[in-house]
Amino acid sequence: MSENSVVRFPEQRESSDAIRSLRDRLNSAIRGKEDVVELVLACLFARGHLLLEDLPGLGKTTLAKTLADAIGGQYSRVQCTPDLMPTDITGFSMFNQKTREFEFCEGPVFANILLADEINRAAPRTQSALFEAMAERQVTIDRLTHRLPATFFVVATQNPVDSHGAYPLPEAQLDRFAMRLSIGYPGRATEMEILAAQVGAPTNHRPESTVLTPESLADIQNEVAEITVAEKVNRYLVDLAEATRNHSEVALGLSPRGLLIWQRVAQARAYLQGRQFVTPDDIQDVAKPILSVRLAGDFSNADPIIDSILTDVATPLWD
Amino acid sequence: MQSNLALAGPTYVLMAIATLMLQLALYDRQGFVPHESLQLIVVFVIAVVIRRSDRWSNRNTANAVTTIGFVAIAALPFVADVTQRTYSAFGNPFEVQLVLGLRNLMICLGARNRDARSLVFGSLASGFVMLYSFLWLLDRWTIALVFVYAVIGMWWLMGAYWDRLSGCFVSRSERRIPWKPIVGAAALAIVTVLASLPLATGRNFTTAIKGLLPSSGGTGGQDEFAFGGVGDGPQMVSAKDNASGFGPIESELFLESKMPSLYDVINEFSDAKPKPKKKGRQRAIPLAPSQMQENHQRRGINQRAGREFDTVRRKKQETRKLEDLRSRALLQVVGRVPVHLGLYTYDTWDGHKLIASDSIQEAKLGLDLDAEGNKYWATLVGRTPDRSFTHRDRHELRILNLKTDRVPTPPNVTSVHIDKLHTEKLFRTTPDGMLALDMDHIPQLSILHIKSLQRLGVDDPRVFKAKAEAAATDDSLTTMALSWTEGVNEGWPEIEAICDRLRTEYTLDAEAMVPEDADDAAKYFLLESKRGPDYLFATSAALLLRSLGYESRIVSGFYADPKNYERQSRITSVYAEDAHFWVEVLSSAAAGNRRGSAPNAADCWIAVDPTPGFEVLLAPESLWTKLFARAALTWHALKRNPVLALSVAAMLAVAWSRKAYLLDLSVTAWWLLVHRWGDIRYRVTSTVRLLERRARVHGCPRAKGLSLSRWSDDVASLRPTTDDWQGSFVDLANWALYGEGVPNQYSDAEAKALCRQAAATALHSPAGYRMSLAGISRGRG
Repeated sequence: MSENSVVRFPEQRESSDAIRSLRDRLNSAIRGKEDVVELVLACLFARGHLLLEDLPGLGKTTLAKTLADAIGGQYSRVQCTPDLMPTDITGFSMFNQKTREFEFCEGPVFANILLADEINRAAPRTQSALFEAMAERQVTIDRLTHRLPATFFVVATQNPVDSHGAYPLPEAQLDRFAMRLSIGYPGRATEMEILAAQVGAPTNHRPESTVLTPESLADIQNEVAEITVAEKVNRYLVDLAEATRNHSEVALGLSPRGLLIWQRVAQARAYLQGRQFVTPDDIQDVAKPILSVRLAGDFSNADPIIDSILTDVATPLWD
Repeated sequence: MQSNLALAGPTYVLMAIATLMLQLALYDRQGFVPHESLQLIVVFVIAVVIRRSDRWSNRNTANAVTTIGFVAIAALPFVADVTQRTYSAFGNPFEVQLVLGLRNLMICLGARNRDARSLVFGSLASGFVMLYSFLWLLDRWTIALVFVYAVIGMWWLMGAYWDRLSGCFVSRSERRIPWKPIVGAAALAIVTVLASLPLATGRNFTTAIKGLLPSSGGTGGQDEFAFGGVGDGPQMVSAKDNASGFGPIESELFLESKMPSLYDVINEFSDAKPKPKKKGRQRAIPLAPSQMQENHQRRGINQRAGREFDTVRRKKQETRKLEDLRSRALLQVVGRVPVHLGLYTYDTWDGHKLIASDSIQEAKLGLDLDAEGNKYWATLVGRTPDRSFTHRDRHELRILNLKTDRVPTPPNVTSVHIDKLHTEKLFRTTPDGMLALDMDHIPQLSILHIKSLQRLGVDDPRVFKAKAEAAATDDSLTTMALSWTEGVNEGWPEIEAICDRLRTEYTLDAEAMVPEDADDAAKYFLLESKRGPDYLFATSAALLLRSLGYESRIVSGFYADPKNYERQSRITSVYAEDAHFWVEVLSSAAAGNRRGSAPNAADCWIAVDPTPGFEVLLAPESLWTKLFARAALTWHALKRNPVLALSVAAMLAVAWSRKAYLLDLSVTAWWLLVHRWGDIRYRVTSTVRLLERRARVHGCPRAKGLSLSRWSDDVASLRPTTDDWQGSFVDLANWALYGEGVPNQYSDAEAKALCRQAAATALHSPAGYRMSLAGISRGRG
């Protein structure tokens, strides 16, 4: 159902071609991970930020770069290290000898898509600066507020194994991300395909064109925000949020901010499915990536807890 | 507060129990009243309108309709009562109207289930309705209902205030049902109810609580339909210190009079012998002189029921001559009517004359003290009624102009009481088996209290089994009796059949004369004229019953007609024209005891009235006695017809084994009936509901966390068919359920076709919906 959605509503037709091309572009970049691609798109359209957590070499950077290429606009990449300063990300004021004035030098955060590689290696104060920019979509330096682009989208990656010299992201800060995704190893057949495709491929291959402009992306994001959410579906969301807070194994349940982003991602999901209203399926489909970044407790994998919550809370059929 | 939906379920159960309880209480008081059921239907219709108004887009109209609806239903019982009182002889006391209004409000509050406050107020209203109904009904079966209500109410409270309660369970903040506190609360409720059982059956408890409830009877006002209250309304009141006249009332104060009376004063200080008041044998009950009020003027006699109130007032206290208030009634009856008051019995018929029996053994009389310990009752010794004589009735007879020494008694009288009489020796039984006072005649204004046993009205097969040898009667009568009772079960049904035939095919005509040349007046009546006065009905019935072997006798006396009941004074007057004849049949217990011994005045007889338009007093039927009697009747009928019983059992067994199929059929039939009435969204949702119900019926319900499309994916994956109705139907269903305000992608015709397909495929698919669902449940189990 997920891969071959039919867009049935005329007003979506214009953007649907672009979305299909974007989806195809991402799917050809990371093969055999259609479900991940769907979630990445949902996150993008919901104006959320994405945390990719996986082992090296699984395509995290490729995914982010492909996305940036396809959308166009400005793309920047920060390789996080312990000595990375906040101003290295946000930018700084520099004294111009010629004009005898301070000039603001924009940092990499002033981009449509920012790839923060290995974010857990940056010092906490640097992380904080980035999180502030993510949440506020603006940067304040020397009492001057600089607005970030409307479609500002952060893809952060972190490596879960090599924790030496790393600064794990605090749980409260993780809430700034819309979802956490793992790409995971591709299947055997997909790996065969990947190998076959690389034979004879030009080494400096660059994708030919962008499929979306930042402006059309902003339009899509606005359309997503208008997707209908019935009262009972909202009630279902609130029930689920309550369930995370009341669960015995969960120390930190879902925050209202998390609830808001969940609703928005579900709307994006419905939009990607070609629907103008959110169903409980949309909510359930995006539950794991959204909740796994937020639920904190004495567990390494939140999936069984999320499963149990989804099983226990009744899906609303009737008023 | 928990979400409304979680609250709604238990609230509805509470409301249903309260409504049921109120209906039972009203039924118990008034029997089935059709217009009250009509009122309930009207309330439900208004509730549905209020419920629907939530969905209307125009909020102003919706709010107006809701407000008008609430006012209308609260006022409905009062308006209905005014109409009832105007156009019929029926009415409800104020408190019933109040509770009916409360019930109506409760139902409509329940309809507004989107608003948590409505549910809370609805539950509160249900509590009041329950309390009222319980106090009106008050028997042990309803206590069980109260108990169920209490347990669910406890559950409701826990659910409603779960947020606060869960704070008490800090160590376990898990969202799981806390069984321990629930079981604890239930146990507490059980203990409370059990502890209150003895209280509830005692009078003090109910009196105390009833004091809190409004009542339409009492000192402040008076309502002829009141259930209870203080005082007796416009009844005669016994004098406390200054008696002004004679009346049929028990009093501590007596006036001097030369009229014959049951009472006479003994004056120890006077050595003069008391002069006999009149000639003849007259015994009297001795009174102490302190109970006598000196009398210097003539006192009025009041034989009427009510008191009279003179609006003309005199300035000075002056003596006034009270006028006699005469009544032409022979006697007055206080108690349930219609009642047959027997005076004479006849057991022989010579073709023209009824001859009274003179050989019935006199019954012994004993003296019993009643439960309150202040009244002596002269009791007939040896009266052994059938098991079906369940109700002990009590009547008060006020003798006015009846001149006889016999006590007019209801059938199966057990004991008699006269105020201040401490001996049974004043009573005797007559040679024809009736009760009499040992004096010339009962003085006027005497009051007799009579206890009797009444049998249950429902045809209880235990009632009557006795059948003696058929008396030697005329063959033509026997043939007639046999033809009338053909195919009727022996015992009570036969007796009923004879009486029914007489009631329906013969005409009561007090003026009809039997020609003097007729050999046998009863035969003439039965075979030729088919028209006659009540004594011919009674005689014929007795003869026919005897020909079938039922020992019967004819009784003459009075019929206390409910037509003469005065609602205000609660008295039924009996006049000379109420003289009546009827039949009594010897009860089976008495017939069993009788074997070999002579007839005794203590034998138990069952009154039967074959005359059209006359009814026999039966035990008042409470709902439970009726239910039990019906159950017993069914059981006996099944015992008598084993084939029928076995086939019913077999049918039930088959129905049980195929219950899923039958339920499936019924839910589908329901869907067929209702799904057409509504817009396309309603059609689709009702189809989804059908699929859900079906799955539940087949024992594999949708798991609560499973969304519709996931559920249908599972069903589809197990289905062998390739058609994709489910995919499209789920899209449609999702739109109907969650796409409010979003246009439908399918045309109405397509949507209807999809609904039909979804319902029909599930029902007729050769692989079977059931198989698919069973597969899911196995897979998940």
